Amino acid sequence: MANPQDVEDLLDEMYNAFTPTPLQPGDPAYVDCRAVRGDEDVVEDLGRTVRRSNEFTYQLYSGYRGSGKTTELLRLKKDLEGRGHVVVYFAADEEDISVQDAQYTDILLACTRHLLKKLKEEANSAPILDWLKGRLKDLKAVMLTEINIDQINLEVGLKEFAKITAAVRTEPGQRQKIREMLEPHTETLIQALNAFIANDNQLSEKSKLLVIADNLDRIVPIFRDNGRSNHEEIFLDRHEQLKALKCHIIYTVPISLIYSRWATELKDNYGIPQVLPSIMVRQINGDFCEAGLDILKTIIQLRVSSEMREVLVPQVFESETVLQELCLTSGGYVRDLVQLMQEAITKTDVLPISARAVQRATDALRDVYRRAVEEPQWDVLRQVHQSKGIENDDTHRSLLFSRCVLEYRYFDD
Amino acid sequence: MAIQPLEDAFEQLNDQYPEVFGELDGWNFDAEEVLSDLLRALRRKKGFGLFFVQCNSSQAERVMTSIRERLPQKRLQQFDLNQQSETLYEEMLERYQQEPFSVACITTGVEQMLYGYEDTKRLVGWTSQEIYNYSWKGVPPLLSHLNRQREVFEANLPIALVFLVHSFVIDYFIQRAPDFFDWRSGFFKFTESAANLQKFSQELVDGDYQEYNSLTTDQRVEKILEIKDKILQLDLVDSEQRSSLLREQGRLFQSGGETNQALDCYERSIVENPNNHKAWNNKGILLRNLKRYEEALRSCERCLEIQSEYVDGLFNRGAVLTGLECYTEALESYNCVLIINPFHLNSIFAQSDLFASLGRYGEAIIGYDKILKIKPEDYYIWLRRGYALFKIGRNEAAIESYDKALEVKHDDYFTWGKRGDVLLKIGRNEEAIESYNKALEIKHDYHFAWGKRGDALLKLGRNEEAIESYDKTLEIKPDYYGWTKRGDSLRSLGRNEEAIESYDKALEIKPDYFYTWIGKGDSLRSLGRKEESVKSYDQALKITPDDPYVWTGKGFSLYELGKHKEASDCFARIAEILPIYKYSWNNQGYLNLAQDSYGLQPIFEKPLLIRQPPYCSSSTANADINLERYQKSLALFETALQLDPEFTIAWANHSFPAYYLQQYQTALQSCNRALELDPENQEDMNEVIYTNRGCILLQLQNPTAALQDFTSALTLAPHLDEAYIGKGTALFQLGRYSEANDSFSQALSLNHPLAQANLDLVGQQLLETNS
Repeated sequence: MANPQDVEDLLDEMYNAFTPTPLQPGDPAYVDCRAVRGDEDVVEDLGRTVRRSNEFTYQLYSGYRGSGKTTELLRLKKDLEGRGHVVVYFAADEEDISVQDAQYTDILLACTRHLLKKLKEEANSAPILDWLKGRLKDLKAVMLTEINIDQINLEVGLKEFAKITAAVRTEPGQRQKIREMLEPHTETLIQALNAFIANDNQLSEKSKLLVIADNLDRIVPIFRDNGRSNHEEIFLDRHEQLKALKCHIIYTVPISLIYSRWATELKDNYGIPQVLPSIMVRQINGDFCEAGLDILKTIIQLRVSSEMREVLVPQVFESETVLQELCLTSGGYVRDLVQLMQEAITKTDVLPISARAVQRATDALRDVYRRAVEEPQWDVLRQVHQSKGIENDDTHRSLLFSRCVLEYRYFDD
Repeated sequence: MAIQPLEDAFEQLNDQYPEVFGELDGWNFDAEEVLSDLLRALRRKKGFGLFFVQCNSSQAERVMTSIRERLPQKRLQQFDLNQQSETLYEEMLERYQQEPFSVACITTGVEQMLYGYEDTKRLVGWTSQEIYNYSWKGVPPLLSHLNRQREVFEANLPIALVFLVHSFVIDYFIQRAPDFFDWRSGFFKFTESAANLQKFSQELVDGDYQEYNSLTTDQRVEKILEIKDKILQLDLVDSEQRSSLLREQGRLFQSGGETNQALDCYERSIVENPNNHKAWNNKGILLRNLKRYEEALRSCERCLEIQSEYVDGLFNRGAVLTGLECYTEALESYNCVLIINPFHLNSIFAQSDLFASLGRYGEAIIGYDKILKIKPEDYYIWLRRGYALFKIGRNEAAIESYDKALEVKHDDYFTWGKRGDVLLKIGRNEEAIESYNKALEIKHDYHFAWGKRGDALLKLGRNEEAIESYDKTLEIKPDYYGWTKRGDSLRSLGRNEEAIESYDKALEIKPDYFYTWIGKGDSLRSLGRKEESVKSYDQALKITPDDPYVWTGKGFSLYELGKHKEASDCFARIAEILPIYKYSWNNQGYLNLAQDSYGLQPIFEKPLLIRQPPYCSSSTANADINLERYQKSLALFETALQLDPEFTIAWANHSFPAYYLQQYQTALQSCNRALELDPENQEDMNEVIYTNRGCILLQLQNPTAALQDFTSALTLAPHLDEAYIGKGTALFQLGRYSEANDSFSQALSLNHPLAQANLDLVGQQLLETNS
C-alpha cells in the first residue's frame, strides 16, 4: 500500500467500478436486496407466474430508473433460460423506440422485430413476411427505400423491420407517417405474429416463450389536450392489443403510472404490477433501517477490490459515520449510491474517503435534485416529507418520475 | 482528516501553480478544488465517460488549458456545435480514427442550440407553466442524436466527452434529459468569485430598454439566462444586487412581450428588496400596460414613497392616472416631473396628449411646440400638433403643421390623410382629393382615405367617382360608414333603389347608425314609399330623438300621406328643439289649415290658396271656420316672420288666415309684402298670391283691382281654375256678364266645383239683361 502508484491504481479501479450501468447476471457485484425491498424478488414472482400459468400472462414491472430493474430482468432471463424456456429480451430504447415520443405501434413493431430475430431459425416466418410484403409499397413511399418485393426472404425482412424501427426511433418526420400507415394493419400484424409463434415447434408445455420489453418506463409522459397521457394511451387504451400476442410478456412501465389514479384499472387488466421499491434506509419514524443500510454497504463492498472489502472502515472510508452518511444520503436508491461513490472518489486523492469528500459529493447531487424541482413543487415535497404518502395527481406523479419522491415498501404492505 | 485552513491551502495552491491560478479573474480556491476533481476524474476514467462542467466561457478556456498542461498524456480535442449538429458522433469518430484523442471538449454551441426551443422559455423564468403542457416534438436534435448514439459512443469511442456549459444547459439536461444526465461520470460546477459576480452584475443592470426592444428572441433569452445565472450564484444575503438583477430580468422579459414572466420577476425583485423603487416602478408600468390601473397606481405610489423625486416614477404615475381618468392628478404628476426636469420630453408629450384628449388643444399645442424646439425632426409631434390645430379651427396652421410632418417623413400616409381631412372641412375639396390620393399612393389599401376621398367627391357633386371611391373602401374594409356614404352618393344621383341596398348593407353591419336611417328614409320618400320612409325616420329618431332634419323628413312623409295632424306635430317638435328654424313655424301653420286650402293636393312649396264663396254674387267669406285654429295659425306665421321678415311664403300664407278672420287689410298687406319680395316670381308661387289678393280685394269691394290680380295669376298659370272663378266673380261684379260667363266656362272646363253654379247665375243675369 506504500507505493503511490498502487494507491492511484486502486482508486482508478474503484472509480471505474462505480459506474451507473446495469449489472449482467452473475456479476459478482450483484447483491440480493429482497429483504430490504419488502421481500420482492422478480425472478421469484414474475418468473413463477410465467412458469406456473397455463394461460399466457402479461405482467407489468416497474421501479425507478436505476433502481436495478434491468439487473433483475436479466437475472430472470438467465433463470428461465436455464429451465429450458425461450426468452426474448430487448431494451426498447436502444434500437426501436424514441423515449421522447413513443406510441403503441412502436412497441408492437419492436416486439415483432425481436421475436422474428430470435425465432427465425425454428419458426416459419412466412406469415410475417407476407404481412410485410403487403406493406412494402406504402413503406417505400414513406421511407424511400428500394426493395424488390419478389425477393423478400427472412434476411431481407429482418433488415426491413430494423429499418422501420430505426426510422421510428430516430426520424421524427417519418415516425408519424409510418405510424399512420401501419396503424390500420396492427390487428393483422398481431395475427401474423401469432401464426408465426404457433409455427415454432420447439415451444411446448415445458418450454414457454417470454418476451421482456425493458426500458418502456423511460417513455417520457406527453399530455394530450384532453388531459390523457401517452402512458395511459399505451398501457390502458391499448391493453387488449398488448395482451393479444400468444406468448408471455413482461412490460416495464413508468412508476408514475403505477401510482396514478389508473392503478385499479391497471390491476384489473394486468394483475398486480410488480414494483421494485427502493431499499429502505430509514423507518417511517426516522430511525435507521439497519438491514437496508447493511445491504447498501454490501453493494459498496462488492464493488471494491477484494483485499479492502473486509475493512471498508478505515481502509476505504475514514469512519463508520462517513459510510453511514453516504448510504443514508442515497435514500436506498442504488444509482445515486453508485453516483455518490463515484463523486466521492473523484474528490479523493488518498484513501480513505473523507467526510469532506462525501459532503462535497452530497452537495453536488443535492444541487442536481434542487434543479430538478420546479418552484411550485417545493410545497408538495414538504407535505410528502411530513405525511410519507402521496396523492394521485400530476404533480406527485412528476415528482415520482423525476425521482424526487422515492417509494419504499414494508414487509406487511 | 482535518480540513486545512482555507488560507493555507490557498497559499499552497498559489505556490504550486502561480502562473495560471492567481486570484486574477476571480479564479479562486473553490475553483481550483473543482478543477482538481475534474482532472482526477478524467485521469481515472477508463473507456467512454460523459462529464458535465458548469462554467462560463473564460472558465472553460482555463479548464481546457489546465487539462492540456496537467494531463499531457491525454490528447484533447475541442468541438464546436452548431444548430444542425446531428452528426457529432460521426465527426468525432472520423477525427478519432485519423488521430486518436482521449478527451473531447464541447464548449460552444450548446446554449445557442437550446435557445430556440419552446421549453427553454420555461426554464429562463422562475415560475413555470404546467410541465406537461410542453410538447416534446421539439427536442433539440443534439439531444436526440446523443441519446440515439449512446451505445455506439460507448462501443467505439473510449473517450471522455466533456460538456463545458453554462448553468442553464445543466438545468436543461437535468429537467429535460434526466436519462442522459444520469449516465454521467461526473458533474463539476465552477462558480464566479464574489468580486467578479458583483462586477458582472453591475454591468448587467439598467440596460437600455430601446436596445432590449431590438434584441432577437435568442439574444434576449441569452441575456436573460446570463442574468439568471448571476442571480443563482449571488449570496442570499446580497438581496439588493439580486433585486436589481431580477428587475433587469423582468425588463428583458417585458421587452419580449413575456408579461407574466416579467411581472413575476418584478415581484421577486420587490420581495428581495422592498425598497427597490425602480422595481416598484417597473411593476407599475407593466400593470399599466395590462390596464390594471388600480394596482399600477399602488406600485407607483410605493415607488414614490421610497424616492419621491424619481422622474420615471412620477412620469409613470401620470400615465397610470390618465388610465384611471384622473386627469387633473395626471397633469399634476407630469408637472412634478417638469419641475425636476423641464425638458423631460416624454412628460411634455404625455401631458400635451392629455390636454388634447381633454379638448384643451391650445395647451397641447404649447407643449408640442416645446418638444419641436428640441426635436424639430419629430414628425409625430408635427402630426399631433396639426391635429390639435385642426380641432380648434386653425385650419391653415394645421395644414402647415402637417406639411412639416410630411417634410420629415414624406411617405406617411396617415399624415396625408389627416391633411386631406382639414382641406375637406374647409371646402378645398380638390386639394383634399389630392392629399388623399397621396395617401393612397403610399398605402393603396388605406380604406379610410378612400372613404374620405369619396366624401370630397360627393361634395363636388362628382357622384359617380364618389361611388367608385366608396366601392374601394368597401372592398378593403366593408364598414357601415362607407356603405352609408355610398348610399348618399347614389341618392344624389337619384338611384334610390341602389341607395337603399347600400344603406341596408350598412345596417347589417351597424343597425344603429343614425345617418344610414336618414339616408334610407329620404330615398324611400323619394321613391314614394312613404310608410316605409316614416319607419326609417322613426329608427333614426330612436337613436337621436332631437334631430330637426329627421323630424322634417318624417313630417314631410306624413304630410304626403295626408296625415296633416301628425305631420304638424313633427314640426311642432322641431320648433321645440330648434325654435330658430323658421320652416317649422310656417309648416305648422300651413298644415293646420291645409284642409281648408283649395286644391286636392296642396304642396308645401306653394302658399295656402283661398277658396272663394260658392256664388259670385255673395260678397262675404265663409263664416263656418274654426276661429281658434285660424288664430293659432296666424300666430305661427307671425313667429316665422319674426325670425325672417323676408320669408316670402310665410307672408303669402299669412294672408290666408287673415282673410278668413276677415282682417282683409292685414291680408292685403301680407300679399303685397310677398309680391314685393319676389316681384319676378322666382319662388314660383305668385299665381297663388295674386289669386289670394284678388279674393281679398273682392272682399274689399274693389273688383277692378281684383280683376287685374286674377288676370296676372292666369298669365302665370293658365290652368288655375280658382283664378277663373275669381276673374268671373270680379267681372260679374263689374257687370261684364258675358266676359264673366267666359271665365266661368273656363273654370268649368277645368272641373272647378263652383263653376256650374256660377254659370247658372251669370246665365240668369244675361237673360235678365237681354230681356
